[in-house]
Amino acid sequence: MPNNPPSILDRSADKAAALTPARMSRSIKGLSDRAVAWWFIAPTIILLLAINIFPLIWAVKLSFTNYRANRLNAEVKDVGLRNYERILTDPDIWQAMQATAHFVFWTILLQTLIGFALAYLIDRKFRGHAFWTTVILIPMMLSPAVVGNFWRFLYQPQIGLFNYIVTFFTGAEPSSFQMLGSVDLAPWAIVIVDTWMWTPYVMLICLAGLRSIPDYIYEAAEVDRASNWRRFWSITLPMALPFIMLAVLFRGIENFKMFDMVMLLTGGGPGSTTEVASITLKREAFEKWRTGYSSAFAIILFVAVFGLANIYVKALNRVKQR
Amino acid sequence: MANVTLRGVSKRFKNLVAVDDVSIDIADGEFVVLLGPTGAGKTTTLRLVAGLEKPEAGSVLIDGKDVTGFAPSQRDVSFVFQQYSLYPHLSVRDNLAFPLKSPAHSLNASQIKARVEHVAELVQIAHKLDNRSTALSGGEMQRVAIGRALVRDPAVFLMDEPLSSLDAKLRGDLRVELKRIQKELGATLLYVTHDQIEAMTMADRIGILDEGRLVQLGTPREIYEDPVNVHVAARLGQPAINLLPVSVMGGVSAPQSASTMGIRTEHLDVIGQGTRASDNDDAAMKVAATLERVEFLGDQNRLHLRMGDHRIVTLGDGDIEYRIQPGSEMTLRARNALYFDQNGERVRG
Repeated sequence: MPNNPPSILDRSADKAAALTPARMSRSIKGLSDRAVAWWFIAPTIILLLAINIFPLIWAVKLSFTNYRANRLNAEVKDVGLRNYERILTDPDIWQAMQATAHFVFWTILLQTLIGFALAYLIDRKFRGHAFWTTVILIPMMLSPAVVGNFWRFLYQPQIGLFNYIVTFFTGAEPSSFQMLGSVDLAPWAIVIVDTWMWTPYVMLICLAGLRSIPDYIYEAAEVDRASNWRRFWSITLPMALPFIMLAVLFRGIENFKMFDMVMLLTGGGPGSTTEVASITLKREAFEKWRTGYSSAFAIILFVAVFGLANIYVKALNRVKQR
Repeated sequence: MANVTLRGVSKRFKNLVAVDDVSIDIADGEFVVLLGPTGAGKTTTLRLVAGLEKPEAGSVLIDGKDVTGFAPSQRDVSFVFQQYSLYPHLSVRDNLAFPLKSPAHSLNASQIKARVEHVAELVQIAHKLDNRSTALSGGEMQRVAIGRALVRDPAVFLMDEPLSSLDAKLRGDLRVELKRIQKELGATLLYVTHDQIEAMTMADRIGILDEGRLVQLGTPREIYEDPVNVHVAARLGQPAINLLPVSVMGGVSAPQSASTMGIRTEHLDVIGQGTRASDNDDAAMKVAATLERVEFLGDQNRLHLRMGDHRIVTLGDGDIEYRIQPGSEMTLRARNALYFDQNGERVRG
């Protein structure tokens, strides 16, 4: 091919192709690049379809039936929208949604405030800041199951460290209150544990945001005679905001589907005060075996999270574009 | 506007001496350019004036007042950074208004608006006032950065290579603009660059920095015609000055201690072709050389010549390439030679 421009063989892909062993290149011959690409991603796509997409579609189908997974021989009847209707009018479901909302709202609020404050302090780069960053991150590295069990002991009224510390500061009798056993305190007990565990995560993301603000922006602001207060409000916060919002999004989605830690701490009790949506769902699906009904509930939760997350991501993009 | 004085200012970073005993007096309304290679301490000097660095020794005076211990916000300076240090989340308008919203200025919204629009006009960015600052081209960003410095009326403007990241055409335009604006405002301006053309065209006085020391301070003409050492002589001039051992030139009446002579390209005249110039000619500073290459630049020709082991460059007429060919022998005569001793210090005849 003496007439071809020499630059064509300079492309690294062509060089790689030229280096392909003859046998392999023969068997790949006849397939276009596009076809080869499809062969490479096919295993992942098949796996995703099999364990994510197909069950989702199947659940949608089940949500319109009275199917019960523990009675395989029973006749499955199409019930139309009745499952959805019953869920949306069920006071127990609304109670669970309220418990979830309480949990999500307060954990996000506390984690964002404390996480950002910690990130702001760590970002000052004081002596040993790297060491303290690692120390702060420890709770996040534990398994939720470990954390759940661990805090059950801390909350123990007679021997628990938590009650002892509260006693130390307030003078109240340690056994005079039960964090996990009281209807008033249990919703806060799970908020405290989740905040303890996941604040480091929010801190880490906020820290990335703060570190992304270049020093010369602060120097420019200093020369422009902006006070510390103004520097924080008009530079630090707006420039870190996309990161903070991202942390809120991640924590929001995570906590909306919170199950393991709360299950281990309170099991949804006392009564159903800490029964968040996933626990209700698990009861309906695997204790009462109302598969059709719980599928409908799962779909409602999915649509809610998906919708909220979408609106939120739009807002996030708008902030990022500023 | 105010005058600025540095008195014996030194700054070190760990083991590196960035600025070494620098003293400068900048008069009110003067445009001073600090010129030097990378790492010469230009930027550090500027940051010391701004208060972004604290000196180990010496003092900084602005308008006669010792501000050495003052924070940048207390010094009434404005600074243009080398990177476009715009606030990326703000619009062009808000970027320009940012310095005016300091409590140090008691301006109301309409005064701020008028001021911002005036400055936007000055730096020719008025049509993009409501754009996001990240949606601008490099030249526009730097114009906004300069505008943000101009919007206030500070004691002194400090600029750290503001044009270095722009393309050649824009750099040329903004150079002229900046000089015009500075004259118009009567601004005191301390400007850092490594570009000698910027220094020569804009400065009232140039300060040459090398390894943290202020080597020479003077008008562009003084620096160019009367450099104190080889370093300064080589710093200015495009193409660079020809540096040759004194012994190379025949019939030179060099001072005793001189070891090197420097001849600017425009001071090396072609007086004849052929190896031997006519003997009748004045014997002083004549030399034969072989032409190696001609660079045609439109308005001038650069003649690259070989003279024994040395390469030299001189300028020829625009049409000289029609008359001579590479390889031809020619005779040169040097004028206005500068002499330097073994340490590179200037020796005055």
